Amino acid sequence: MAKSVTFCSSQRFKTQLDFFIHSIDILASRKGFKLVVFDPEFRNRPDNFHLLSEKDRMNNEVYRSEVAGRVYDHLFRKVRVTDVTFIFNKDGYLGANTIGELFAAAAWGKIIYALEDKTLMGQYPDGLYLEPSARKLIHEVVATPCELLKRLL
Amino acid sequence: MRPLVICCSQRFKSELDEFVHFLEKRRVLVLPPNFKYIRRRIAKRLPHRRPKASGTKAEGLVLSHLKRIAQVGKMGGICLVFNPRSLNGQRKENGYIGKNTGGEIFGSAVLDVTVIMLKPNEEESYMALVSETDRKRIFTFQHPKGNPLDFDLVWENWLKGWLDG
Repeated sequence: MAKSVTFCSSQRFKTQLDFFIHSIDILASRKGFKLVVFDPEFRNRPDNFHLLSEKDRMNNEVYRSEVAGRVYDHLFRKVRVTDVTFIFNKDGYLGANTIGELFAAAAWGKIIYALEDKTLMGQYPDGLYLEPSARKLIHEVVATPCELLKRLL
Repeated sequence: MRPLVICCSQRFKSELDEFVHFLEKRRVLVLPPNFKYIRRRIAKRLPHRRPKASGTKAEGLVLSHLKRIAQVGKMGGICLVFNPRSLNGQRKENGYIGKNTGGEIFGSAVLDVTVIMLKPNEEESYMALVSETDRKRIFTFQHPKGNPLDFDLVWENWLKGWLDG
């Protein structure tokens, strides 16, 4: 039986994450599988909103009022119920919420995969620093949709 | 009395050591993060200014601290975020929470461990998990003029109530 997976990512990687998920969906359907995939739902936001820093996003009243609900929804309705958590840390970057989701997945004893080996925190892209303790929570680096699919089937 | 697990940036190592000593004298079962092998001089630096070796030492600390949170949760205990001061660039009314401490707030919340804080923080997701509406969970909301480093005040007028409750 195929496993289910929740993706966790900074919304600045919305485009790349959509592409990754679309690719794994296609690969799975070619093999005749239907994967259960949950994503962070970055849709329905203004153009290029996802490229702003979280501090700037917080100036948007609607976004600000939705943050609490989104955090709970992603943690308890997605990460908790799926078998696998995939940390989409493009360029190694982990935002504050993604770090939180990583810790939550670890606390729940989930299998955790990540896109890249580095776990970088701080200001993206120039003020990043290495934070190895987060790396310790990740079981394996899985860099492609094809490799992830092999682990899910 | 309920046991207490503390989540805290290593920047507050000195203050934390004093606070833990204060609580132990009051017979509180307290589990602080293990900063034993981190030098105070290094701990006070911002994360990106710490030498890489100190990060390597910290690798296992995060996992072991998540374990402590789970243990205290099973014993009916609570989690205190020890964030008594703001840093440069932060609003004065807020208290600093590092990224790992933020992660531990998420860990506590999903393990159903009640989280309380000395000061609020600008990160909306942390506040959402600690509860934006339940103001008694934050010391400076209850005591706006109180100093979070006045341990007697924190203990008598706030923390004791949580641990006895």
